[in-house]
Amino acid sequence: MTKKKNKILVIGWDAADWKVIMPFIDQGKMPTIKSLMDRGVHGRIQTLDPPLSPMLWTSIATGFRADKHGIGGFVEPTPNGEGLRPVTTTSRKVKAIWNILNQEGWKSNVLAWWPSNPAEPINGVMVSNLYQVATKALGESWEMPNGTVHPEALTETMKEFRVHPHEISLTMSIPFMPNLAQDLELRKEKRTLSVLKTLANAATIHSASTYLMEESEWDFMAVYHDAIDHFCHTAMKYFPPRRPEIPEKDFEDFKNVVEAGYMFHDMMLERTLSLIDENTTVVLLSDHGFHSDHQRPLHIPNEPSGPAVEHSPYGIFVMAGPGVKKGVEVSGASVLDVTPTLLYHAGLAVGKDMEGKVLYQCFENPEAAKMVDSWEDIPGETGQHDALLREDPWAAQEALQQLVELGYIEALEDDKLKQVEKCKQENDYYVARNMINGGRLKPAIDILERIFSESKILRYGQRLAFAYLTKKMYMKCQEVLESLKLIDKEEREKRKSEVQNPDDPFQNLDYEEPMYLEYLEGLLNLAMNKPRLALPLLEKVQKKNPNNVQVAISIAQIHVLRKNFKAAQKQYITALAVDDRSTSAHYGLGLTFLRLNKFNEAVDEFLIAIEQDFFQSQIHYHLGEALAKLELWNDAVNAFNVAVRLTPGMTKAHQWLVEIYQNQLNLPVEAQQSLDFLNNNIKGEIIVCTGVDNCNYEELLTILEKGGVHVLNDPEGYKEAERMLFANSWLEKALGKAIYIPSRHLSELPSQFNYKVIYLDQSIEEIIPVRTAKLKKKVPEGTVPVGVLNTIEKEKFIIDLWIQSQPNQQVLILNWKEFLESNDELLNLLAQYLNVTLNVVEVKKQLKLTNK
Amino acid sequence: MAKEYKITSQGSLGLLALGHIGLRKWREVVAQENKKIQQKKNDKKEK
Repeated sequence: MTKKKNKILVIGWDAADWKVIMPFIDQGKMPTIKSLMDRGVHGRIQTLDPPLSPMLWTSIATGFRADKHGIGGFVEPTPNGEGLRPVTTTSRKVKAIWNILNQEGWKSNVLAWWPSNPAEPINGVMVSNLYQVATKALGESWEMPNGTVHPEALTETMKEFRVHPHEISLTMSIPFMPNLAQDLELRKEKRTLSVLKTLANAATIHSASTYLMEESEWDFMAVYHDAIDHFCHTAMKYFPPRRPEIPEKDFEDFKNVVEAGYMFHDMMLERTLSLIDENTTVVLLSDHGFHSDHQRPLHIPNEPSGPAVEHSPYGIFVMAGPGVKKGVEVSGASVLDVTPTLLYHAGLAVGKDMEGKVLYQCFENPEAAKMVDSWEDIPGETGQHDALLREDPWAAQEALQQLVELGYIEALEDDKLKQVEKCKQENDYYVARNMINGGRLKPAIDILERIFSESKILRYGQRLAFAYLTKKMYMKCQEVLESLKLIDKEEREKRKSEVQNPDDPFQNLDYEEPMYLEYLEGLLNLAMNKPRLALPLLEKVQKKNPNNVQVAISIAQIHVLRKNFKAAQKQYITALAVDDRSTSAHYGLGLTFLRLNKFNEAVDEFLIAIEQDFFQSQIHYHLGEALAKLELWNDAVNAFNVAVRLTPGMTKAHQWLVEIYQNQLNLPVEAQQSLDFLNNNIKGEIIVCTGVDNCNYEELLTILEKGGVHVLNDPEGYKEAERMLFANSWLEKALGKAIYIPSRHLSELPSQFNYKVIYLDQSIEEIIPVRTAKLKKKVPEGTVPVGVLNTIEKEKFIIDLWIQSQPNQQVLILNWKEFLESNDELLNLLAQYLNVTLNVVEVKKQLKLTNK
Repeated sequence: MAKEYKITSQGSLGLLALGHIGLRKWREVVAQENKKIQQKKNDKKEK
């Protein structure tokens, strides 16, 4: 048994979001969370896809994703398989943190965690997530379902702390809905009742938690509140500022709900924190955020878990206590990191099989965590269930009804078996999405192929196509896309014939349709190196979804690919206008500044991106490049070193380090370390001939071949390699040989090879006749074709840009005119550069032929 | 010095935020209030 450390208190606020909290803090409306932030660390916490709470809170409590922990969605079949029930603890396949702590002698209280029914027999108290749900009218016998409280002997005591929605008085409701004072009709409104129910549930959980904190012994306590999520699903659409689509009366009636909800949580937090001492570590977190600004969707998809579109990808994370840094913002946290970090903080080993990491950046003097292969293999008294427990189906049914009311699940159909089958497919779909999110594409594709072929549900097919796209299975992606187009057409026809409610802005606004198919097709074209086809599709999607950050970033990437950095910049700025914390947009914007030689601006953007997400090595790499351009050599070295620590195989960063250590800082020992790495990892050398398109590269390759240089002549292979952005093994065939790479593809060359570049330098006057002849253009004598001229200049700019961005890159600029004159000096230079003995006689013969 | 607050049968968000202690105090007041109302009703009936 390990020595016990200080107590740990974990408070979950489902859907809490900094974008909402920060203005409230500035206005002095949430002083308690502000004081907690001041005495600890805070930052964003990244959610997982799909952002569904039972799955996420189980990842938080275990450090595993859904396929490992077993909680896929909101519901699961009953043991007899003929119905559905809310997800249960018995479906969780791995130990939760309280089970691990249990076997290490810790005493835990776990309250309303999702899912926690039936309560597990831990050393301590567990009160399940069915505890607060009112199943009867006020005054009627309100029994608790079996398994709600462990130990059972505490059941009667815990009953006292339940607040019934009908107990909530007008005085308590007024801060949420001031118009209730005079509007009697509003008091009967469904949304009003939903707010009151949510408030009663929050008060129930809070009262039970303060009681357990004061009256029971505990080392670890976890309390989960779902109220912010529920307040937001009911009323975030009415949160100021009012959007034109929102009826004014609805806005006036419900505009205060979110604010009052957050302030009430701050008040509860104040009381909770008054019940612990300064040696208790507190973690306050949410599982995802909630869109509160112009990103709020106007259309909630009419599908299971549709309301999750209102969730945003970052939640809140605050940690304070002994050994935790103070007043510091931390980045890079994921919901998967909570259990590893808490185990580390408790002085216990972290499971190597856990999918999260220890957030060392939160601690003052971090030491390396102790590791075990897996906590699953370590026996002990874990406090898990021995066998499946039966539960009260009526209570479960009531909880299910609440999920139906919230729109998380569809109302049950008469045909329950069919419903169970649909539920299973839906759960599989969530697990597959979660796998994709974790980079496990192959098993996700297996699941999606099965459920899409069984159901032909559009969403399943879309995810399958995206998975194929990510896995570079473009033909498969294309196939699915075609069949999706057919299904979509049929569904649109069907929808047209359905009667719509003209008064409901959330059902009828077609312009917020995600248009996934065009998006998918656009991305597919982009991936297949057809930016010209991709751009109009994505621009069409953007026109209909101006607030979609990802679409703007994809369009910007097309412009970057085409070296239209100014156009890319506009798109990144568009993305940042929607979400000023988008790491990808800050990084992309920085990259455009870098390529436009605005190095200070580039550094600023990269630093913001790093602040948001420290763990993306390519941002550190490009920061290093910008700093090197500014000749801030020590800062550049620091940035490149971070990049190689995060991605040890990043050869380009090593090349920069060699360049700076050798030529700028005169540190040969450090240079040698990176050189050793490069010598061990670079696969070999390729001679790359390049120049503007349609230059005399064929002639150059022939001359080189005559001179004894090996040339790779594989037009078919080249076409395939071009399509795959040169990421495949085709380049390995070119090792030790010369190839031609057009200017537009230089930036796609992978970094595991060394390149000796021969840049065929031709004047505009030389190129224009060749280019116009190859394009079969007739140019009147004495005129200059401006379009051709512009293209040539742009291609030259791309080559210069690439050369400038390459560390230690050897480039021979070969003046074609001088070369054709069989200049001996130039031939010697070429032989020296290529480190070969050139057959000068043959070369000269060929030069003569070419010159004719 | 501790401030004194008068708890009414309407309760308040502040009481709910106090957790089980606030809930108990509020419910005590509600119970007393209900008792008084019941007493008044009974008195009326007796008269």
